[in-house]
Amino acid sequence: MVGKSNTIGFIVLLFISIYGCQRDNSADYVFAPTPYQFPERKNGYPIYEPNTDNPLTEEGIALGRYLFYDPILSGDSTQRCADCHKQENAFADPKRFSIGISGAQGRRNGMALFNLMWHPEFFWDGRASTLREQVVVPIEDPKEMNSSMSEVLKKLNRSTFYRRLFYNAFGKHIITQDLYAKAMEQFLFTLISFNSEYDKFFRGEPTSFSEAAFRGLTLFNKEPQLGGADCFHCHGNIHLGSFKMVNNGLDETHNSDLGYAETTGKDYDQGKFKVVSLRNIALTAPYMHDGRFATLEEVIDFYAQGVHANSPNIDPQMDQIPKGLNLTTQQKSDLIEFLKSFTDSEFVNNPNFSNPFD
Amino acid sequence: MLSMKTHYIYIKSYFIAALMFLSISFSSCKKDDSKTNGGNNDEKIEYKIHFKHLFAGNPIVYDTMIYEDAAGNKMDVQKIRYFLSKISLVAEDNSITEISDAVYIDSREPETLTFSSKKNIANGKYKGVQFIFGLDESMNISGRFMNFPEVAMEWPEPMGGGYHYMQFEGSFTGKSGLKNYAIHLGRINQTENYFKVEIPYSLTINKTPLEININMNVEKWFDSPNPIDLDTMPSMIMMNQDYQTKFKQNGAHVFTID
Amino acid sequence: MKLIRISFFITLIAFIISGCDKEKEPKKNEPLPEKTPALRLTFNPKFNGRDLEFNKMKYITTGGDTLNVQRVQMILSNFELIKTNGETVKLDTFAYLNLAENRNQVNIDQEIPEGEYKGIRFMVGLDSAINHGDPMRWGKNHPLNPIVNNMHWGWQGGYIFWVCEGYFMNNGNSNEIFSFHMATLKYLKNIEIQTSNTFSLGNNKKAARDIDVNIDKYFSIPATYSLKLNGAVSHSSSPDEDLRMDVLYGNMDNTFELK
Repeated sequence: MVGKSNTIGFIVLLFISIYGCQRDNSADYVFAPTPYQFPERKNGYPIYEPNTDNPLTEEGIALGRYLFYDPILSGDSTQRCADCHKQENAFADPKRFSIGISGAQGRRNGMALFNLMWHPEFFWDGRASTLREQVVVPIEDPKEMNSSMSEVLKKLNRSTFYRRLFYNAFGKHIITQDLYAKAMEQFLFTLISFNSEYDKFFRGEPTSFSEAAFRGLTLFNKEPQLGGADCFHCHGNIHLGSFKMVNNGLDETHNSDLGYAETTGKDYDQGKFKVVSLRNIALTAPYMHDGRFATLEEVIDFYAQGVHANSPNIDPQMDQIPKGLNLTTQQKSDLIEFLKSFTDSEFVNNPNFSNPFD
Repeated sequence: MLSMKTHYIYIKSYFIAALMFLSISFSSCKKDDSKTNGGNNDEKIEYKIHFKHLFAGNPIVYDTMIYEDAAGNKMDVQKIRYFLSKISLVAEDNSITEISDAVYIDSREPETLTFSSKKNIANGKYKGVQFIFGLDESMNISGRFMNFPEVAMEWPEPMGGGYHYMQFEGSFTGKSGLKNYAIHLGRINQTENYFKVEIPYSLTINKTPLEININMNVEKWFDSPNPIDLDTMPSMIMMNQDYQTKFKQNGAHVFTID
Repeated sequence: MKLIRISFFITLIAFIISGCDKEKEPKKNEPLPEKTPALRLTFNPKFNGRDLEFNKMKYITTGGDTLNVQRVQMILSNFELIKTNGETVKLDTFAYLNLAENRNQVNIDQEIPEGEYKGIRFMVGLDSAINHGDPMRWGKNHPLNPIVNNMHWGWQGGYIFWVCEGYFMNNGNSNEIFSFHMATLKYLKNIEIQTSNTFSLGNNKKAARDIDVNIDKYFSIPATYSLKLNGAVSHSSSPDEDLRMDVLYGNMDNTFELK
């Protein structure tokens, strides 16, 4: 009797699972991804070079966007990437130190996310060399989302919603870490910001770029011995940031946070952190790897008078800056006006990057 | 004041380096002298060049909304600062005598409105005056001017560096009310926008002091061949080659001599 | 006979499958078998004839400065090879070298006419069209991509051609920065170096040659340069700075040495 009901149960189960499979193969489970069209590239802007093993598709991007805004990635399903990377802040964290699901506080400021296709390394200390490595770290960090990739993959594979989206994007029924990372990469690569007033000014387009900003532009690109602020050695390229690992002389000694040396193990890399892009900088306070400066005024004051000339491994590109910049109040405010011209309001208001669950 | 101080320290610390090249500088000085065509009379002639700024024939009344652009927008004039360079006399035989380097002019600063110097200028008949509006490649180099007021004409390095040719500013009443305009001319990246002005003008040099007036007829900047409507002109034209070209073309008949 | 045929067929299939596999799944992080270039030039930083160690305050120049060299970077173009009979062969190579980070090789892998070669010419820097062209048109690994070399001045300002940076002991016996950036068309530098140790190229012949980059000579031959006296910074950015760059620009003629 027991055996018989077991058999019936088995048959019912089989039926359900077959039915399930059939559902899997129904209209929702289509793999015909639409290639993504990047915005038109203009002269002087970088060419688009997504990874050849992960061409961007509408489906992959949409999936990555859901993941970015879904607390499913955290240990207790309460925290999303977007909680510490807010669109209105150019996907940076306005908190000095991000707070994880356990209430623990990190030791560095959450970095802004845009134009990531062109970054050679990720994190303040460059410990991830690809975005696909990067997107796993916060999930597994006990001070952040405090989960594990295997846990997250279990949850994703249990979700019919994600099984369908992954199939649509990659044509695979089983969600793996590789596919998760590729989906995230696709969405994050579309976060492109090259439409600030500064850009419009350089392209000769109508702009609110001001006379004060123009004076700031001159100071920004001028050597200190000629009376300039000498920002351009590290922030002069199209990204307004070299993405190199350097010590800008923040501290007299390097004790609490060794920066790049924690990645390379070399003494001469102590105190070095990634040079960030200044794009959208007015939206990404607080500043520096440890968020020690709350305002742009504080940052300018630091570079003008607060750089530690004897900081071990200070970058030679800091040049004359440690001797002090003689900037007038007017010049400092001109520089800040210029920094504000890097804000890309289209980017922070782009509906394609907002929460898809809303 | 601040910049003077920086400049002083800068010069001092590099005095030795400068000495190393003194001999080179001497030889180049000699070369410069031999270029002038005043070899046949040893006496230097004193000369003065006056710069005048007129709107429709009258001296400009600043900060007052009494002028109009080509589209009829009411406008005023607040600032005109510019460089003229390589001012030269053209002799009947087409030989050219340069009588200035780069000259900075601020239409509201009387001490910049007369350029005076001395030079050997050959006696004889001259048929014209020519100069460069702005600075040519040989002069438009970052770091050439270390002090105010010239240093305030700087042009940022990512835009090709060097200096503005002109900063001409004021306000106007457009469709949406009072706005500012800024006609800032200069080189965009590698595109040079300076231009040479050649004006027929007869004069005879006979060891007598020379005085000439170079007039900027300001209304002509807005006139032809490209009528300027300040209301449709972008607020920043420093990266706008279309507008740089328009002003370059209009500028060809802005200057007169008397 | 049939057996042989079948086994041949199976082997063939096995080959095809394994070939397919390789194409489908390239093994990650495993460098491709290195193709030896026709000519490999390795640039070695030297001080007084010995390998220069970066990040060490120990080098004493003829001008009396004690140096710690942090960076030696350069952008090279217009390579030409010189045959023993004086003929030259143009190469279409660009290179960005960063000697402190061991990016020190120029690999030339194009068809080279057969012959015996004795020398190399190259330009430190780029001609005007490339120097002021769109800097972002280059792919992400191209030597002229500003993110690769960090030697571009923004938008179309042009490249820095040569960087030599570090610290020196100043009069107060503390570390001070020295920084020389050679840039602008005025400072394009043509280098020609020759060796008695000639090399054969062409017709599948390959050669590798070392080029010494003598930092001691950069500060001493023919003009002795003193950071303390003559100034420790020049970025070729003003006529006054050019006074210093002119000296070092002259010394570059003796900085490179083909072994």
